[in-house]
Amino acid sequence: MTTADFTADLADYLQEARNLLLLKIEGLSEYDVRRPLTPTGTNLLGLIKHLALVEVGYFSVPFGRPVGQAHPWFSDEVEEDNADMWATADESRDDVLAGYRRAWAQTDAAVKELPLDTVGRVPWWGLDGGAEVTLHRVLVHVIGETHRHAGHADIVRELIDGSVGNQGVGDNLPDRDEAWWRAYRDRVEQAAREAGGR
Amino acid sequence: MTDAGAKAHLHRYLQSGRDALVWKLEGLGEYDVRRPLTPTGTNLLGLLKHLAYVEMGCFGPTFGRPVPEVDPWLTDDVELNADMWATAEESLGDILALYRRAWAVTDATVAELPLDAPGSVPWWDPERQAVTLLQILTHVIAETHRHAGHADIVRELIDGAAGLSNGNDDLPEGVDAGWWSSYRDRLEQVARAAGGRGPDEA
Repeated sequence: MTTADFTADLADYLQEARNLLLLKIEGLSEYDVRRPLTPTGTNLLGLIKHLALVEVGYFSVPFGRPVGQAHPWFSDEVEEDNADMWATADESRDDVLAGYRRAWAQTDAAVKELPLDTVGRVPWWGLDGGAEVTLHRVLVHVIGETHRHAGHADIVRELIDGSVGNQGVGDNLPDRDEAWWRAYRDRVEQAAREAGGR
Repeated sequence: MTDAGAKAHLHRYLQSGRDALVWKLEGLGEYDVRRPLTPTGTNLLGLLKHLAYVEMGCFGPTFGRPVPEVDPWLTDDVELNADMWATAEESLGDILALYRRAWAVTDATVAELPLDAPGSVPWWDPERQAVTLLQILTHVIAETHRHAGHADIVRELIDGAAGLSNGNDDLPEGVDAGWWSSYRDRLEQVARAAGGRGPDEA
């Protein structure tokens, strides 16, 4: 297997998840892209801001590359817990998206310029001030993390307005109307109650 | 990049996704593991059942390795979305055993074939059916982690339990329920301000 094959497959799956995140905020108001939908405050714009920082973090310092155009959110001195998981009122949706795209560019440059077996060090992993990694491992890590957050975005978006799918409403899901989905959900609920002895 | 090194990394991330899914069910009763929490019926046990058949299909027939129990799912003989929920007759133990049998199918294929082994995914569109083991492994890692993300939110909606993995929640340390509650309130207020709504406006 050639290195180019490896890199292309991995890059495709990273980009797929990035695109999903962007899709999930399409058509929503400023309020809805920021609304916390879970007890721990999960919200769409915060997921994107967080993932921008994840990419900036993993593909710069661990491989001795500069953080780049002084990313405004990226600092060793985070003043408060979870500040990367939500956008402040001063940060517009466009600011956050632009930050995410800048992060993509830095990641894509690292992936293009460095061999997959390049050794680096993630300072925030492990108990002894860091862990040795390869670019390949970090790339697979970020693919996993981005898809997991895309899964969060799937449910948050569905809770906001019922939109689901990969490319548009209903994509990759059975093509059925609202009444079908309601009856389906009721049936799953009934099966659950039966199994739970209720 | 050696096959062995790449396989080890890839397998590790597949397993971390699987482990997260199984962990998300821990401590819940038969009802809660099955409850649909979204309009399209997303539920924890259904995510596991779905991923079991995904692994069996992706690492069995795709590479010419028969897996009889996935065959019915490759035809149109099964009911729509029947892989996304467990029936009342299927116990939690049954679904966990099914998922572990799927892991064994995958792990054997990954151990025995090179990463550039060619395969064909029977249920994908003809123009994209041709794949390699590397591509399918990456695909299933991505899909498993995305469903783990669904499970994260579904579990949190059931009983408030959140976190990355067993033993490493990856959430802020030393904060209590009161902190989360005021954090969430603050985010809600910021969202309302950004959306031009008053604090109490619906």
